[in-house]
Amino acid sequence: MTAIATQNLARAELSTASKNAILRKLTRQVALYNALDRIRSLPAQRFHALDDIMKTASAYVTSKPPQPKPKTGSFGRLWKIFSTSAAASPAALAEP
Amino acid sequence: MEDLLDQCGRLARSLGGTLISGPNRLRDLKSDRAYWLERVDPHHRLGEVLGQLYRAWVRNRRAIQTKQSFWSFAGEDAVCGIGPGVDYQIHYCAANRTDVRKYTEVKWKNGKVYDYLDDPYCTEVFSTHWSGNGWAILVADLQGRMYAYEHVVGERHHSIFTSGAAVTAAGELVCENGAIRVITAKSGHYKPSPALMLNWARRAPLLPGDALILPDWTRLGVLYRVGDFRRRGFDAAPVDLKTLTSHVQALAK
Repeated sequence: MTAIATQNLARAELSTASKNAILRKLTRQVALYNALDRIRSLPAQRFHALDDIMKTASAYVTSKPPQPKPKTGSFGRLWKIFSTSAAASPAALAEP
Repeated sequence: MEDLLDQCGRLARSLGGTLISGPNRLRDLKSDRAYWLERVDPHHRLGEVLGQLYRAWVRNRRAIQTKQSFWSFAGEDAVCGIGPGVDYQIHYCAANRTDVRKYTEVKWKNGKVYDYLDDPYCTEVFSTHWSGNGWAILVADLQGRMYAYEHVVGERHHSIFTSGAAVTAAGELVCENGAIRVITAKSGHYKPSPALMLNWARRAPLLPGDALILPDWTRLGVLYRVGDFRRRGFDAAPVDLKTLTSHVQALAK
């Protein structure tokens, strides 16, 4: 089997419904490669398709720096609740 | 994204070729050599230079906050300003330009290799950064054509012949009067695996059986005779370094 396994790619937001145009293009290119695999095309065509995927992926990773992940631990959740709640507002913090 | 690119790298190898190195290590901050960046850069600036800039970019607070693209961060200048008098711009052969390929292609005739002027190919006047005088860099494309030329750091690397596209083999070569003497798998741009070099040796029947091949760059002392390597793979009898120097006149000097 030489097709690209797409099960794990959903996590990378690779879908035709993605908001990002580069990711949508990448999804189409992966589908194209897998279609080439099904019809047993020439290796040169498959290399060309793999090359296109690589170039589009490179365009994606150079489009913006990796953003810091939001805190998801218990402290992170607590902080989120605190910072968004009314208790954190200056009025609530002010002494009566 | 890394998973996808890992898969692409594996698939390319299973198809008997290799993509330019680095695409499956996009976030690897330890690696300075980002040849995939060199390939997609419109100016084809040297991978080492772009790799350093990439490392700085992913850590740059301002770039993260403003979501600045890498190419905007790196600037549009073709010159990176690393070395005085050196532009560090790789001379990629554009897809619509065949002149570089024409002048660097080596052709087989009667068991020997010839250059574009139909003279027996000789690497005596060439040199490579790693192996020194008497060596040239070598690439075999997907159609089986072979290209060889002098290695010039920051200007002419393995990626120029095919504009960074996939290849079936890459490395270095010693050729004397049209007879190939030694082939190695030394290519930082493509990092060909030993299995890929074996595959290529089997698919290139004109490669002389008495030539020596070093299919694994990480095992420098282990060379094989091409004929033996083609038949028995990694079970072939290794050749010692004494045989190598006696085999190659240029190296004996």
